[in-house]
Amino acid sequence: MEFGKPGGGLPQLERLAIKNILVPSVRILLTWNMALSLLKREVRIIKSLVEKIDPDKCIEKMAIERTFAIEDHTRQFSINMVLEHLCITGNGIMMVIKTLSEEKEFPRDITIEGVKPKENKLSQIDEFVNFYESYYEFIKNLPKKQSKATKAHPWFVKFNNYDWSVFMYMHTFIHRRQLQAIIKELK
Amino acid sequence: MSSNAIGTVIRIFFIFIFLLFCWFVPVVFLYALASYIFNLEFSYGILGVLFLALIFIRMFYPKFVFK
Repeated sequence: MEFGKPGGGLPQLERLAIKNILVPSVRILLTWNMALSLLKREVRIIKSLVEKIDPDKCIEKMAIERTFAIEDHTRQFSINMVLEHLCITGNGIMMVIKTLSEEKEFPRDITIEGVKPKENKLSQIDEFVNFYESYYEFIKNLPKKQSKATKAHPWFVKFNNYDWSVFMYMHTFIHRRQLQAIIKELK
Repeated sequence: MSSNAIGTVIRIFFIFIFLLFCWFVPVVFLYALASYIFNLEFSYGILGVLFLALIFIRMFYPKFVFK
């Protein structure tokens, strides 16, 4: 089975719908705290999904149909690869939010290829839980002032610190749906 | 679109409905309170206008959402 290349992107219509409808809509409807509450809900759901699965199954790669807002290359991940990806992107987003909140330019390029999982290790769920606990603490202590400084997502528009915190929730949600698709195939 | 993708879009729709409700509730509460305090007639039309005004304001504050 052939898959797209890393960074291959989304279908044009999907990308434009997210950029022009979804992004403005979440900016209207979500505050920092609402995004954080919804993110915590997603993490609870992911934990409850993954803890029911045999750890050896969690490193089994599973080809699934492409889920919403996920590029073609990503549909061949294992459960733990998805969790690893969430940790990699989450750490990156946390650094971006911190930098933008200081009204500084984030110097590194953000690429889709750069956040792909590489390890597929058995203990990934522990790292996942620990990362999100640290993220909650980080956001809780962050002054909720929207930055003027921005950093562009490779597929969408320029995001400020608030946008990236909302993206953190949306991204986790999208990959939770991917995990549900993988788990359905594993059974 | 896969069934999972369709399910995701449907979930996004319902999340938006929930979020709109979260913004609607304080508008109802504040308008009802103001109506009571100032002895005004409670009008669903005005309630609707107030809610739409809030959504309109959110399009521009704290930042312009279409940029």
